[in-house]
Amino acid sequence: MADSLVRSGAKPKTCHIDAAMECVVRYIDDPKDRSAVSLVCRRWHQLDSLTRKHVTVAFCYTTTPERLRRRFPRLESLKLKGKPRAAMFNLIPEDWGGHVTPWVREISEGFEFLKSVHFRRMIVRDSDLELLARSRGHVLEALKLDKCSGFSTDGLLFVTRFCRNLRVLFLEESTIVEKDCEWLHELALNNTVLETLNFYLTDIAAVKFQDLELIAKNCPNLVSVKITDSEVLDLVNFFCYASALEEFSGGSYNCEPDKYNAVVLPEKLHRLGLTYIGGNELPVVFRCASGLTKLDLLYSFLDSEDHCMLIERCPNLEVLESRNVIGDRGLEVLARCCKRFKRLRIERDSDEVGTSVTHKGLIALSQGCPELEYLAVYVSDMTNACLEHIGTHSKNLYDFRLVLLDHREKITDLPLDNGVRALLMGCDKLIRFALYLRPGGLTDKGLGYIGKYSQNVRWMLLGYLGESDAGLLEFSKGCPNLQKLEMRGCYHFSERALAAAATQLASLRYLWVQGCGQSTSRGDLVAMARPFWNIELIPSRRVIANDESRGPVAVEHPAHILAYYSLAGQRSDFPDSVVPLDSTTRV
Amino acid sequence: MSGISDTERMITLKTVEGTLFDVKSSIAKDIKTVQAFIDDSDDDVTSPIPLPNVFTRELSRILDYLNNHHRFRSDIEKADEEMARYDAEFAKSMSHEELKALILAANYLNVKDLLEFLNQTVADVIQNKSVEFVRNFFGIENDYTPEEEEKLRNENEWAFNGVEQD
Repeated sequence: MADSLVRSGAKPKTCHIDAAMECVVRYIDDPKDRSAVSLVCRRWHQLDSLTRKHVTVAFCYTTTPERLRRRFPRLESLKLKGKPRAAMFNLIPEDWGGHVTPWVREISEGFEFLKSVHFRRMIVRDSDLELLARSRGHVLEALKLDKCSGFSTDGLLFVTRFCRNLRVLFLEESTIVEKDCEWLHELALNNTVLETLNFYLTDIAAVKFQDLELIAKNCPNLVSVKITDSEVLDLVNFFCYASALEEFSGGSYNCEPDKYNAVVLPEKLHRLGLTYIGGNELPVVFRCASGLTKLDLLYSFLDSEDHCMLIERCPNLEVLESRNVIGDRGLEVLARCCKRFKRLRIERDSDEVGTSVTHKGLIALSQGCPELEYLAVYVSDMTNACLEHIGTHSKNLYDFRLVLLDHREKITDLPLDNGVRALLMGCDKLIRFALYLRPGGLTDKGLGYIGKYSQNVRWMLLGYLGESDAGLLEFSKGCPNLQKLEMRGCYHFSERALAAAATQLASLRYLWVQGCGQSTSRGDLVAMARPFWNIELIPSRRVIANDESRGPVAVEHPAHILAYYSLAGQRSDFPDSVVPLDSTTRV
Repeated sequence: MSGISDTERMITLKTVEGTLFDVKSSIAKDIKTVQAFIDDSDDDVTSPIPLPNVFTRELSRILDYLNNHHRFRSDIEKADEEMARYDAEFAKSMSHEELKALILAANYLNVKDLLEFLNQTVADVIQNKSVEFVRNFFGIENDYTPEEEEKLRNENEWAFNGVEQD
């Protein structure tokens, strides 16, 4: 074909290929494929730049707002992640960094096609929200402030006043200072296209149910609403108007259980988060249980028995989030009744409860639910046999996170070396892997297995694993695709070994470590210095934490190391608690 | 249209090589560039419509595709299933070179469904492939300096390749 084009004196071949690519490029969405396209030649780089619709920047300090705009001026959707995951466990200072201000400034001046903005674990000021709302309000369709902090309802008022085309307003788990409820009222008055409203797990308390009703009335496409603890009896009309609703989370139950018989949940509802619900109010849910695909019971008051009763009635359940209180019995019911089950997350209970999740429940689950993809569980006990079972049965598992709780002194079967090896060998689709044990939980040999058998794993969290530098170095010979590594409880590793491991891991671009060997000097860490590799330290510090029983107590936070590749150079917005390690002056 | 109902009006298309194809007017409707030409003409189009950018091999493939899809659509019950099978065969029967040539022809003639299908086919072919594969597939010379390429590769990897959830 190409020959005949040339013979007939048509345009040069490359123009035609460009024309073909211009057609095809719009059908390429995966960032990896887009990366390949951009590297083909300069012209294609341009083609990608002008047609890329969405970018996720997994860590905001790897680039700059200005670079992003130069590269992708026509972006329609941006997701930006800030603070390290450790922020979710209050391990790093609140003012660590991850400010949206420079990004919002750039967005307000460029990015004229940007419709969707998602900030995760970042510091957002009211002034940022005001600028964003005033400059982009007319085009903004989705705003997600996901686990963010630093703003108040005043900032939200700008958003709900100026962004009248918002389809998605997502504030889940953000730390929001509540001044009044005007922002929600404004949303109810101005918006008719809202699809998702989420202020779940925030401190927003002053919510007028009349505003929720108005939103449900005005917005026929409202499919997902996640709120805080409004009284469910006040939501009867809301549920009645919200006929398109597929997902609801929140609510509280403060009246006589009988009264809740009057509550009729919308017909299409199939994803449900039940907060503050007790066993007596469960009949409200039973009526729609058979259609449920997702249940969030993390903040419910249900005991193990209640869990069993509810799960039994949910044959179509695919996703469940709960706490240890579910017990092994709960998991056994899940394994027996929910054959399409895919994702399980079990968090720890704040205080010791009678029931717990152990190897027994997980063995049942892996045998009963062949479609299992995601497993993130705090367990009280564990065996090698359990991990082997998962390796044998859970072939679709791509995300596995296991934390062994420290409240039981005796664990049935440690170390877990062989079990971990069997799991990693069996579950070869794993791309995320977290294992948090205790001293003695995994030997150096086991750590070596993790390196050797984690071919596809891209993110890993290791806690209290291995015994010595030898294990860490053996580990670092493997994991060819590991991009992001987080480690806690690494007192037995020297900084020298850590630096060697970080250099050895071929794909590593982000490393976070808490509690590394203290004996050596920072000079050892500099051994991992290389171009574009930023190294930051948070020296060990005392933090006043609120203990539920004892009140404020001083907690010793061990030192952290964060190292990452960046084209932006060293950042300049450090708080005093963070010390950049300037390799050039120290070498 | 005249009163003849079962003998549909025919339109003649002429490729670069001068090959003539007779096409039912109902099929020509799906070839937007041709349809626009017909709509713009005052009288009935009787002489062949020249297609200066389309070669015989491509036009014959496009007409095959459209004829078959018309046939499938007349049998509602099996349409989707048979169409999917036909499409898969259709894509498989072509070399990469032929596939690219067909995209250009479908693009010029503005045959929407086919173009969409072909674009998706190529996008699927290069899914998860290396830069080198994509360069080879399209036969493109790398015009980056090694330093530029390294820098861009880093930028892609470190900043703009965020697929992880946590």
